[in-house]
Amino acid sequence: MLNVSIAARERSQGDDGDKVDRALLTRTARGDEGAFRLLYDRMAERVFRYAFTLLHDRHLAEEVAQETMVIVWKQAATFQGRSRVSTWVFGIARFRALDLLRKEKRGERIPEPVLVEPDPAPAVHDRIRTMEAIKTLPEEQREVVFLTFYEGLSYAEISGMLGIPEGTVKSRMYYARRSLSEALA
Amino acid sequence: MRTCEDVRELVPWYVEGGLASEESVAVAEHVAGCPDCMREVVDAVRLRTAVRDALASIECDGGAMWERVARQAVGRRLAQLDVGSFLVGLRLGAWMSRRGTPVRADLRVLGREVSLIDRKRRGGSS
Repeated sequence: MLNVSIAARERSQGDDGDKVDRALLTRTARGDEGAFRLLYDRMAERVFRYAFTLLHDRHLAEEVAQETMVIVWKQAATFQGRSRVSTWVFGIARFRALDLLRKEKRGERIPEPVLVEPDPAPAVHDRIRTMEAIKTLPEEQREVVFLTFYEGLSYAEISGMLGIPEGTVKSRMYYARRSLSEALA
Repeated sequence: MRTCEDVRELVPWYVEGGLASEESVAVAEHVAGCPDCMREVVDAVRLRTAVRDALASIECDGGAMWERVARQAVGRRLAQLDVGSFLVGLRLGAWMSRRGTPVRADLRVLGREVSLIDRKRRGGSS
């Protein structure tokens, strides 16, 4: 299993983290397997959690993360450097996840049943409650919550990644916070 | 002068440290004199912590996933020869992947690698 602290560490590294990602992506574009493995270690778990936030299905989230990382390997040379590497990778994952969501809306897949422990410890209970509250949000609010609170992206970066105005990012977050605060009160 | 509504929209990025410095200062100045917006900040910090904890608790079997990614992307290594030290050396390798059988040779000088050969053997492109 990957180290849970990687995402937190990368968030705090900010631009320095992106410099490392860019160097690894450049080497990956040249076919450097070791660089790709390091990039995978820095990105895969975060991509999985992003996909899980959108899909709420572990197997599909793994599928999205896996496909995304294969695309990163194949398309590394096409990265144009206009955003952070992580934003580019999340963009790929988003495209795949939304494709799966569209299939779900057409009834082509059955959502994974949620397994709840019968009597979880208080901390576990809180996490389950929070995940359930996140799940009730519309998908467009869920991803803004993830990208802000888990990935630490600015509203301008989220606006660029999702292709929506900055005001829309702020209002999605505003309504998401209101719903989550009510659900977790 | 920012209104409470303006500030509340920015609070999630204020607590994340994701605002430009002038925006961050403006929010801080407003919050310092506005108990309602201060409560918003406290709530946002609490929510951020809860969301991070919940998302971080989702387990991901990265090792098993890597095996599948590596099979599809990198392929299977056929042979690799590595001579020299970390500072000076030469690495020759060949792989079998969906992209063909790439052959690479890298010269390592003072810890930096210089590509000598990078041939992707499918249709002879290099």
